[in-house]
Amino acid sequence: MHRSSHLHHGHPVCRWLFRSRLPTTWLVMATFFGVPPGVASSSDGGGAERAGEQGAEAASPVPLRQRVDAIVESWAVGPLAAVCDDADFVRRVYLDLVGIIPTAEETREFLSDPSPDKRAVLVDALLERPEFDRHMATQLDVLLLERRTDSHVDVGVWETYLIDAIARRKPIDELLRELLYPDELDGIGAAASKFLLNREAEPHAMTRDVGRLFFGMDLQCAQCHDHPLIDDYHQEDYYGLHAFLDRTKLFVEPKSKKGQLSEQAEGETPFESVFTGIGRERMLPRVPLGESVVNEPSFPEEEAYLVVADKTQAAKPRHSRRELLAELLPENERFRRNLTNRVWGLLFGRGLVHPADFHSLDNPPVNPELLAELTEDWASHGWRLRYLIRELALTRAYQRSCDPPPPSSVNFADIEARRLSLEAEREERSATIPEHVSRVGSAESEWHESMETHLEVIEAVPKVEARLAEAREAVASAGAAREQAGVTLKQLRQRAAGFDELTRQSTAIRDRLPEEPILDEVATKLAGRWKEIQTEVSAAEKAVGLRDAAVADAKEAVGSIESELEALESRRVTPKKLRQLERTYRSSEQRLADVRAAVRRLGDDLKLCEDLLAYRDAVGESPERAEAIWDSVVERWTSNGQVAPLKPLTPEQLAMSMMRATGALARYQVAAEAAVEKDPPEWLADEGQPEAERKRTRHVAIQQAWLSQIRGSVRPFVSEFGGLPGEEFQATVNQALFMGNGPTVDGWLSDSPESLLGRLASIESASTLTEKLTLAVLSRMPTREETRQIEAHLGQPVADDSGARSEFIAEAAWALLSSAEFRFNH
Amino acid sequence: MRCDYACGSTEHLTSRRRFLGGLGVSGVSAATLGGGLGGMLTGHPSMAGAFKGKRKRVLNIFLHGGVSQLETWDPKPNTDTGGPFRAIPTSVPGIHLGELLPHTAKQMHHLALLRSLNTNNNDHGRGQEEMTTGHKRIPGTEYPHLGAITAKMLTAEDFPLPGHVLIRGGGRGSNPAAYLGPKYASVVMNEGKPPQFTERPKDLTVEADARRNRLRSQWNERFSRRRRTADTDAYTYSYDQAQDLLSQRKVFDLDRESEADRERYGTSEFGQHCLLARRLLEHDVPFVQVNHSNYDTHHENFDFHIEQLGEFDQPFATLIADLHDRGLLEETLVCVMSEFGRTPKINSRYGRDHWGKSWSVAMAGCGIQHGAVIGGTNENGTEVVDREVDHGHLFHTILQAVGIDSTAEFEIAGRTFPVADPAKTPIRELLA
Repeated sequence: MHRSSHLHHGHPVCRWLFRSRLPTTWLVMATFFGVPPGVASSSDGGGAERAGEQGAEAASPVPLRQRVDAIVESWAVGPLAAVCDDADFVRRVYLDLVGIIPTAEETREFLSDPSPDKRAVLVDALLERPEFDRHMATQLDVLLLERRTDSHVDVGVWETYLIDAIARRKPIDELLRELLYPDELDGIGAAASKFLLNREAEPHAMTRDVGRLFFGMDLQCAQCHDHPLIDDYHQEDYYGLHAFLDRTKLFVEPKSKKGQLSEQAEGETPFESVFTGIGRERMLPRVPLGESVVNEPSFPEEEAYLVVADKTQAAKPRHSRRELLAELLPENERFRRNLTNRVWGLLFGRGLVHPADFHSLDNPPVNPELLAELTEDWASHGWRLRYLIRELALTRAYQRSCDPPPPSSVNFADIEARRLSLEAEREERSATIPEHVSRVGSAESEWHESMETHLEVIEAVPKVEARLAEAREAVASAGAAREQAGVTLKQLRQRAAGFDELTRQSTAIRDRLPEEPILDEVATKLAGRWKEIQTEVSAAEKAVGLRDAAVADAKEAVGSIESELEALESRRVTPKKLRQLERTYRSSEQRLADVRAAVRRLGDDLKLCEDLLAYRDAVGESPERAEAIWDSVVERWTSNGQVAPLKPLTPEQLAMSMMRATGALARYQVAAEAAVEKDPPEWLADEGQPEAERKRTRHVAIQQAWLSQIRGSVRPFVSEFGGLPGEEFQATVNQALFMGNGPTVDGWLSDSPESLLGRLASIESASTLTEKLTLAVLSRMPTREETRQIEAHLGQPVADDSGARSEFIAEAAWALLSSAEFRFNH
Repeated sequence: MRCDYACGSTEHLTSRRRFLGGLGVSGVSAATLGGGLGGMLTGHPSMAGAFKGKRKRVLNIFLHGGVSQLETWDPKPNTDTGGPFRAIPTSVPGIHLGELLPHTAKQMHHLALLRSLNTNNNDHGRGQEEMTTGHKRIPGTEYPHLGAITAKMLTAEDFPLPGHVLIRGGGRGSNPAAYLGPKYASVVMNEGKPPQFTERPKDLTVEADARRNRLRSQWNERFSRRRRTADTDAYTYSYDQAQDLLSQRKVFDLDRESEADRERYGTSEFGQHCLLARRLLEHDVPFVQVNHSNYDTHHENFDFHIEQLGEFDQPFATLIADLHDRGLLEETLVCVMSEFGRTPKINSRYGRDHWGKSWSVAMAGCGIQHGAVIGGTNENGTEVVDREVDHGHLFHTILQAVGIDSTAEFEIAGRTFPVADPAKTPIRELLA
């Protein structure tokens, strides 16, 4: 939590509020800001998951939705848009939660429901529908696979896995951990491995996409050098992540030809900068902003693998770095914020950090405090998707109208005052930045030095130890040689001693019998031999001396290597110390990021104040300029949560909503229902299920049946309308041609009896017809002007009037389907 | 740093001017306007003057399968690798082409030959991708095709026709636009038919279409009173553009070319496609790619090249001459490329295999030095000995020739993407 860094903005109520988080305060706030129908009373409602969460909620003073609104509204500059009307709400919440517009009947029912808590009731009901599972699975699929061509894992298996995960309320962090390490999952492992296999398990492709999608950091530029434009994207971040994934590769099972993940037990990642040539021989695994893994388990070579790779099976190490990465995810702040940011983006059109894969010091969240609060709260609720979506859908921020507040609602005097206080505050906060920068600098270099030393020591120690062992061996062998020499000397001396005696005796005998020449000869020979032996002895003595010296030398060598090793060991940085230094460094960096984000936010708000004042000044002089400034103000209000965004429908939302509006989907649904009725799948036949569960299961079966039927109709929408997450909105001529001249929409506008056109054809009254048409397509009641225009359209003269009315109706339906109002979620 | 220079791309639609007009004075940068404004280049304000004068175009002729450089642009007669054909003189003294290109040889004074490509790749898919995106292939990554980049950068404001046309679907059916989005993906013309959806359904009269569009405008007008953004403007405007396109459908209709011209280009499919390319370029379509198959001659390389180049030579030469005569060559960059060349070594089936180590492309127009040879190979063509370059350098060169700053970056929804591989540079000798 970094709340302390955001306390000092210019809103006294809010400043006080964040210091004293008392329930009563929040009641005051709720009254202060006004609560839309359904929001205040929405803390009740069914559902096992929620019941559990309410327990957690009880510990927290105020529901998240109210905290969100308090933060958003306390930061707001200028007026807030009104809460949207029921028609906008019903369309918006259907599209966001179940991926399709409501049916005309559902809309009518909601609009006519007088109960004050109907919005909360609807949100709860939608969260329980199988369509929610399906829609979230689609969103996840697009996010994770980014519409890549299918490979290795059958798309149906993958879809079922995702739908099932949502339906079973699997925590989102758990789902993502499964995608990284599916190796030990029973049954679903093959499906979950699709995320990595679709990248061919290529280490750089995996590193890039895990960085982007899991940590919200596009580190690609840091692959070859430190990122040129971003201060905090280092080549070390890239390779730290890469080290977790570099040992994994694709293994193609020879029989099935299907890919599997294979992982080595060893292998380090060297790199160097293409610019500076500076790099590392090995990079310890490290998640972004996390700590380097300095104490990995290691096993002797013969025990390193659980499964040794051969032609028929993939390798599986005893210690998996990929598994370690999966384990490290939930505690990583970038990962946590990225998850939260993505879900916010689902409901609000774009993330608080935008682009979503660009979390960095230079790109702080539009509201840092809000992202921190959401993340912390969602984590404490176990990353349950329904919880966060429900809380967000019930905020005033989500339920705002897309109609911007009129200029007349801006209190310019307030804005002037706000500008002054923001300026002062920004100056104050900015002044602390240099100090933070220098702290980061010194913490970083201290850590870096220790890291370098650590790496140097762990590289050098085994080498010195090997030399020491060698030297000790040399001592041993020199000792053995010395011993051998000693033995030789001893033997020689014994022989010499024997000869001494013999020589004396032979000389004595010769002296006694001098006339015997043979005795003289013997004595002389023996004396000669004795001399020889004396020479041998002294040579052996010399040899012993040399051997002694060799032993001393070898011992000295050992001593010097020992002290070398000692010196090296004394430099060794303990893992604890290393972690501590790294933690100091990372947290100093995070504090700097927080200050920068706060300053940025203050600057943005200041800018907004300035623009509002510039607008006021321009109105009289240049209406055109004033309008341009106003547009930019509205854009800022939109990303601040002061006005609802216009979100283009995804290709899937667009296709299915058109099918629903025209009645084409109903035809598929009726057919699917009949098919399931006639030939129920085996898993439906379980009689033991409770009634509610059976009903749901049946619903799931029907949904699966029609989903597979409409796949072909959705496909052209994907190719025409794009629809990658984070992609810019594009309107193309081809889309308009597809809508206007293509067979798809034309086919849906046929006038078969059960289609929209079929149902409208027999209606005489223009107002009834307009009402039904508008409810079905635009999910609202028509205005009087619209009814008049439709009436005029139907009454146009034509040369040949055969079938003219049904053609006119088709034209009207097409016009509404092609309208901007239909194209966007508003 | 973002600049709002007048690149005149389709992003700057008339109806969107409201969102750009007058900005900058107030310090409101385009960047604060959110995602709808489309990609802009960052950091290179020098682009501002890039489109003075006539707008440029690109014609890319892709010879699929890998044309042999030895039978075309870099003949090596009388060597162990040269094969049976002679080298013939061309309109430029001292420059020779393979004898299978007699018509092209007469246009050599308009052409430049780049004889020193080393793309170090022998895979069809990778070659096609790398040659047309200028980037080294990375698994799981898609780069925009040359056509998508050209269309994005060179399509005029309010230009109703597609900016990126592919004549005869290529290897992958259509050219990817990747992060540039579907707006710049290729529109395909196959078998002489107009692009998809450019004909009204039979039962939809012009009047009925106008009627329903009037109603659509009324609804849009009403919604814009609630909320109007760059995105809603772009969406409503795209339907008006579609109507403009329908009114100009004749551009796709080859029957409107004279009988004489159709004969000059020959009756082959490639000949007719060259004529169609001329027609599209005359109507200012910024990027046209003509695909011609199939040069993958592992067997009987020489017989196949007689046949294939026999189809290629005359229409190509006619097209170059026509573009020049009509003054279009000055504004049209022409490139003839493949995924790679073919092995100097002739295999036991009289074929040549895949070869990326030393091969050639031909270029023309748009200030490309004409009548020139850049780079060279050794005596029997087995390696590059002078001015070695690859697809990355070529890509920069093509873009620079048509006035696109290839060292700039696209700014798409807040992310930046280099236009071309930042590690490579243009081939200056080609850019006269």
